Amino acid sequence: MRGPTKEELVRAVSGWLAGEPTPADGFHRKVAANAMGIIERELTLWPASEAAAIARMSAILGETGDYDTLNDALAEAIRNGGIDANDPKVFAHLKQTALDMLAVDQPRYRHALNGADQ
Amino acid sequence: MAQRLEALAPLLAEGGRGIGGLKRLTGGASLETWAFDVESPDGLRALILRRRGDGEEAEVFETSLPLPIEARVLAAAQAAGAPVAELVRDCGPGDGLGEAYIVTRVAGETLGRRIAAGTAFAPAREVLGRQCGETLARIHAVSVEAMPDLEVQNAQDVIDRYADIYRKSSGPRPVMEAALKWMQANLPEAVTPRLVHGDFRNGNLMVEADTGLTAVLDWELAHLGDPAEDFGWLCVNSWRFGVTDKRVGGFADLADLLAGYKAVGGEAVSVERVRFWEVVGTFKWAVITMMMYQTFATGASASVERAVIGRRLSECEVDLLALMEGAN
Repeated sequence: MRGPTKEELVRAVSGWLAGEPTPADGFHRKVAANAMGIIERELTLWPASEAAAIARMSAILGETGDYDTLNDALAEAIRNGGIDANDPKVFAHLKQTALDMLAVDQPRYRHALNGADQ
Repeated sequence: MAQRLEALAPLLAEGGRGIGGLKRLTGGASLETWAFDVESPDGLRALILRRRGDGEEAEVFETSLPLPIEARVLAAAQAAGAPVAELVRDCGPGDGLGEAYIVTRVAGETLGRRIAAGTAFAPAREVLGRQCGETLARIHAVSVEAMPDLEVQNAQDVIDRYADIYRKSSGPRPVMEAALKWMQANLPEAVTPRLVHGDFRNGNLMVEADTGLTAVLDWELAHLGDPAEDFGWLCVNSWRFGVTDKRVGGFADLADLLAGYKAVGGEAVSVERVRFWEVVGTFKWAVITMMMYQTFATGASASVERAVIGRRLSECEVDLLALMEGAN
């Protein structure tokens, strides 16, 4: 799974728009608006975040490749013990990437990472 | 269904002569919850019917207990003094309702956001943390011998189970892998298994604005395990509804919870142990969001909600990193 991708979100929203009205449409409208917000932020914010993540992962892994390739390699290296997630450089990358993803997916989510809220 | 309940009316209230107000409440595809009233000389008795539906199991994210076993766990918790919706009838085959039980309908609010942040609930928040601690101590003190064949799920079992689902339902994710390493490295010493509620969180607590906790709901995930599992799950940031600085459900500090627990004789639980189970709980919620998204990805559901929930993984990963960082 690499999703839901923005294409899947578009498909879900357009499917709902094309469907028959239901009593729950008030709720669905909010969910759809949320999905559109995610898509918009992914289009505007994520390209720069992704490029920065690629650069960080290349440095950590000593490899080149696209985001998915490097991300898979990093996950596998953490899993097999080749890379220690507690290494400050690795942990800093995980934090930055997680915060960048959150900025796309749920910018209003309150959390304690980086002492943002606590 | 109304006819079947009508026939049971005399058994559900003293002098019960009929039922009214039957209404389906929210519920999963397979587990139904109905509200209804029994008419009796003393007035209306407000009740809840929990029932396994006839439909196929559309989605089972967890192994839910069979309702007759859930009813017995509920009765045991009630006997131990935990606030619960009182068991009125454990339905048998003769009742014609299938797998079902009936409990009293308890007044109060379950919406987590209101309980954590609503102005009206400020008095409840003053006492709720302590009440949850007291209640958990009572649940965890229930005699395990008296429990009907509940599954023992120790920390390693829980980790393995959710790790397995994650590997089957997601591509590799560095933060999830890091969390698995962390959990394995911080596995606490085993404890004697106790009755664990399994879904004790803001959202499954019935709360009155002025008096606090009135009932603990949703016992279908009860099992035997580490009591700290209930503490950790209650602290997961996703159930704090934006009130992140109140670690316990967005309504109380951990110290209040632990103080209430101790006051009723609960064995001391370390902050590290709570944190461990909070990491496990956050990992588990991450996996559940993946599973819910899977119902969209596989075409089983076309709902926008099911697609979007996959993006809640980001919040879990941020929370996992915050917990891991705080532990170092």
